[in-house]
Amino acid sequence: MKLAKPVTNKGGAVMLAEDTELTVALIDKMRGMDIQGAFVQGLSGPAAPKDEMLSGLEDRFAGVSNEPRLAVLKRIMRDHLEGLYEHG
Amino acid sequence: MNTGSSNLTKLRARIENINSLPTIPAVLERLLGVIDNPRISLSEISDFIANDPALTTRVLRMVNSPVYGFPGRISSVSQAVVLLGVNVVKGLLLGVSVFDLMQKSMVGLWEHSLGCAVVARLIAKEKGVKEPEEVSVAGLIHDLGKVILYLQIPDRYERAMELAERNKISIAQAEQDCFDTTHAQVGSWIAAKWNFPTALIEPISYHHRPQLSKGATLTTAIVHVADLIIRARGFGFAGDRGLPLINPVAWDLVGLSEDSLRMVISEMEPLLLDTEELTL
Repeated sequence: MKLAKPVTNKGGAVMLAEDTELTVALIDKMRGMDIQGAFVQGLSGPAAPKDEMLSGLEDRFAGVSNEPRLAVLKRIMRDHLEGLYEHG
Repeated sequence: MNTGSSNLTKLRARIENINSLPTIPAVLERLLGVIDNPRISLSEISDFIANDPALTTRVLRMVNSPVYGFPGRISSVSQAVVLLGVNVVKGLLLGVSVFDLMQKSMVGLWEHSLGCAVVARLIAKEKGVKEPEEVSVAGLIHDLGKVILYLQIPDRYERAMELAERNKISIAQAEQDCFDTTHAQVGSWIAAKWNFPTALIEPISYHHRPQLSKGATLTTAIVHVADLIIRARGFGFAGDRGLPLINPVAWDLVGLSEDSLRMVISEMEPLLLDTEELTL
């Protein structure tokens, strides 16, 4: 996991550069720094619009809709995919 | 197209003679000598990788990726081989060596394979499997037969892919129609020829029919379920749009509760995002 933007302190000074690899040790250090937060690469949200993502799910399950175990998987996957858009 | 049993025998002979194929990348050709040798030692396999800088880079990138459980912690090939063991490293070497071929043969197959490896490892951990990395490698190379078929007869494999798309049938059914066999069968021929352990041969052979597994029942069932989950997520492309048939016995054997299934899917997501950057 890497930083998508430089991390700055309240004064605007760059504390960590863009693309810095985040390790557990570095995240622990950041807790003690005077910073508001950080932007992380790849976690900004799914690439496809929500409608497209959900209709793709329906298409993939279209031929197996009568199988009860797959119905459970589909329900859980739908919840999961919808959740990806809640924090974007 | 039904090529008949004598044609199937010819196809098998052709597949098993893959080492002589002119389109085989040089690194894979050398690698097959290593994979074929059932008595190769840890140090011999380390030396083989370490003598090839490109292969070393690929192996280290892969073992430090989310596909395995050691992100950023493995700095040398010898450390990787000791931690993972010869069998896992053999499968891993094959996986990284067919990366280019996967990219060429079917757009999205590499992502599907990586995703399956990630999910298989998460399930294996959840089930307390002793060597989750071995299950992960099985997920990584479960579709090896697709690459081999494409490599041997690319025109016919492209026809099979078109047939699957046009008729909305599974890629395995399309392969059956075009080759009179499937990627699972072809994968099993080649994995047996290369002396892979049962824990890799059976998931390759039976990931669509896990009930046939006798020597690696749980690993095969996990790869079957991981394949379903990653397809359900829509990550990568395995050659067809729909989910394959589920085997209820295998699903029940893996026995993920709803809570466990939710946890695996939730843990999978950031790892999949990380694998998107994993170009070897």
